[in-house]
Amino acid sequence: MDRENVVEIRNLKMYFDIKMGLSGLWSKEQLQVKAVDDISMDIRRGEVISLVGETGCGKTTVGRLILRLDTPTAGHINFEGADIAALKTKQVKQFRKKAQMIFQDPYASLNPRMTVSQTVSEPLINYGYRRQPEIMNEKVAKALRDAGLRPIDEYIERFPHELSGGERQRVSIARALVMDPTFIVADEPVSMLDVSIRAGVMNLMMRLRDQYGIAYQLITHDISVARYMSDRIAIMYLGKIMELADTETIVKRPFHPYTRALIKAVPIADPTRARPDLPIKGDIPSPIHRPKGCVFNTRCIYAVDECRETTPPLEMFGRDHKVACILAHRGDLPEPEPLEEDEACESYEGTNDVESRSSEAGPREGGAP
Amino acid sequence: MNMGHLLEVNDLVMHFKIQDGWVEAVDHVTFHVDEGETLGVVGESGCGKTTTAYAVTQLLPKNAYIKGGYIKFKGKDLTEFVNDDGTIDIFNQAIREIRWDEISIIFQGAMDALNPVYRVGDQIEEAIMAHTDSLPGLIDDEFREKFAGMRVEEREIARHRIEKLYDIVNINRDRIDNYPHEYSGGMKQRALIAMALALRPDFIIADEPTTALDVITSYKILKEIKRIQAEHNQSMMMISHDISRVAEMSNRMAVMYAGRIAETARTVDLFCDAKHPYTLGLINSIPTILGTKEEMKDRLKGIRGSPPPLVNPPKGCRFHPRCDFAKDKCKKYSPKPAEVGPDHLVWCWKADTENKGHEWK
Ligand SMILES: Nc1ncnc2c1ncn2[C@@H]1O[C@H](COP(=O)(O)OP(=O)(O)OP(=O)(O)O)[C@@H](O)[C@H]1O
Ligand SMILES: Nc1ncnc2c1ncn2[C@@H]1O[C@H](COP(=O)(O)OP(=O)(O)O)[C@@H](O)[C@H]1O
Ligand code: SF4
Ligand code: SF4
Ligand SMILES: [Mg+2]
Ligand SMILES: [Mg+2]
Repeated sequence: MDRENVVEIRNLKMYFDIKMGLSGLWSKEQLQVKAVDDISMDIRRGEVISLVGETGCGKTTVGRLILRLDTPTAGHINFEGADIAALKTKQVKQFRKKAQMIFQDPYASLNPRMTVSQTVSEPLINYGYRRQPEIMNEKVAKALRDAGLRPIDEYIERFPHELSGGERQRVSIARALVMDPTFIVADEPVSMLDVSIRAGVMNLMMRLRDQYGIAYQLITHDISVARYMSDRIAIMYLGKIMELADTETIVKRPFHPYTRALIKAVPIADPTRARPDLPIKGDIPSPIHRPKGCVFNTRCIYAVDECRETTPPLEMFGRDHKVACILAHRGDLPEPEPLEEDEACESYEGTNDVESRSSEAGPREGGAP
Repeated sequence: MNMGHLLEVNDLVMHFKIQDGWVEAVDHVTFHVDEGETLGVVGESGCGKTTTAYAVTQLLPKNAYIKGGYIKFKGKDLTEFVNDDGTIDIFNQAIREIRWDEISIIFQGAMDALNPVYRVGDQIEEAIMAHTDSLPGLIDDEFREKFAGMRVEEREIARHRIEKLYDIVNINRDRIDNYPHEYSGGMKQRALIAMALALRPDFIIADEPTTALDVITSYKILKEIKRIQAEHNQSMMMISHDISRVAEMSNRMAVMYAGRIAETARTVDLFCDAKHPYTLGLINSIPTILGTKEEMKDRLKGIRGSPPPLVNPPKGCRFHPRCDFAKDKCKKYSPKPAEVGPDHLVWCWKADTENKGHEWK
């Protein structure tokens, strides 16, 4: 492996027992949601790796497990070489410093009664910096500057409700940064933000990666965001990884039928483009009653009988490219269609054909009383 | 051209009264929708998209005051019924008849709009039965065949319509009598589209119809809407904060900023020849999967700052605090619309100046 791994995930499983109202009283077996079902992957030092998939496929659960916020049903997670389940109290404290989280909802994740400076210094206080106020203030100021909240004096005394969504998300980022993490799980960090401020937050996160070599696990359902931000992408479906490869391979040469459908569904800002049929059928099955064999078989347009019996493992498909699909490995899937060029406006000739100009297109003068 | 407008909103001013003053949510808004056309409305959250849509149907809360302008639907002035003080007579019969019958809305966050204790089918039936005079229009050949020579009750017409609607929106008919919690998010959204289509309205307002849904579900639903709309030559106003999704769906677009229209144009023109700095900012905010990653990194800039509150919004051009091209004039005077191309209006002093052949300096 060319780079050292920060996180190594091996055969990770997380099954939730679910309580089924009245009807549950009569059912013999305990029903389970297999939120994460036998996942193995590595996160390399300083890389951004995205988990992409539809709602409920288990992305957040994986993130929480890596951060030791939940205990897995089975499997192992190593963080910087040590099994996180076996950490001693002191090591746990160290781990909590190095592995941070940024949440989807900047409104809910900040304490409304704490100022920006209180929010960002809180984790430091937990680590005994109260007795070194200069160092603490220095660290807080640096984190705020790094998170783009400048000039910091304008922000430190504000409460969350006095900040815009983008600024709130920057405060969350500063709170994570202040601990000098080597790894951050960012769960949908921009999906609640207005499009116009997303770019700023995404660019900020990437700058921090370049500057401090922080590895991110980015959780998102938006493959365009994943492509913009990440080095590698893992595509998840019903608790399993379907495909894992470097970003350009996922986007340009995907070999799992599900990845292909996801990519085709991405909106493309080109009104002249026809909407092709998606190469996928049906809806996501309930996570409680998952299909046997390949979990994707009920929606796969290529599925054969074998897919309903055998579960394909995530196996090496090419250089730095893994796929969990029987037909792909057998060479029985068609080649991926080449991705179109971004030429929405290239053939555009302008609108200045005065002929078709309407004389009355403008609003009437003095419409308002 | 004015003749053909199905919906014409002209210089509409609608403000909300709150304790500290007025929220200027719709401020001198002008746009139109023609027959068979889809108008996409985009803008950041809080810029007045939903409020504008509700104003069209006069579906407004008590603290809403229409202060000027008019809304014409099929030539009928809907603001005629506004009380002298600007409040809206919500019980006005003329408007109630138009609503659902001729104009219907797919509400934002509609998935939660279904009542959890009633079966989905019953809820759609109720919506249909509220307009009994439209029922005869819903009888089709299949219905006549099925009930030939029999006495039918009004309810049966509604039931039959619901079955057809479920076919249209692609939900199995045997799910009609399920409760909302038995539906997935995508199915609930489809059911609400079915409800909006129930009375064959001429005009559909879809407010963020798929924002809460996954790409695949969203793609399928939008494709469905587009198909149905083309088949019945219905017009639509589709609201979204996602400019690429709107671009896929619409013939024309209106960009809103802070309660006002910034630019309206045919979708292609808006994308390939945007003139308003805000429109350009929005276009340069969305990552895509096309093109090279490097191109995207150069392009993706976003817009600095954030939208202003609409109580005491900035004077002059409301975008000026965030605009890289702002000059003194922008801070003092609200831009007049410049017609920079056919059916292409821009509310920006820079665009206006350049359109007249002068340099903006
Ligand atoms: N504490 C829990 N108890 C029971 N089921 C759970 C629990 N947490 C998650 N699940 C279930 O596990 C599955 C995966 O959930 P998870 O939150 O990881 O999905 P996700 O991919 O992050 O989805 P989203 O995109 O909606 O955030 C879902 O079916 C969910 O309902
Ligand atoms: N009933 C109301 N009373 C006061 N202000 C309101 C009311 N409804 C909406 N607003 C305000 O009007 C503005 C526009 O809101 P909205 O139309 O929902 O925007 P959008 O749909 O573009 O996100 C916002 O500032 C919002 O807070
Ligand atoms: S294993 Fe079979 S069902 Fe699964 S993705 Fe491949 S072809 Fe489709
Ligand atoms: S009017 Fe001025 S401030 Fe407003 S968008 Fe145009 S250039 Fe910018
Ligand atoms: Mg999640
Ligand atoms: Mg809205």
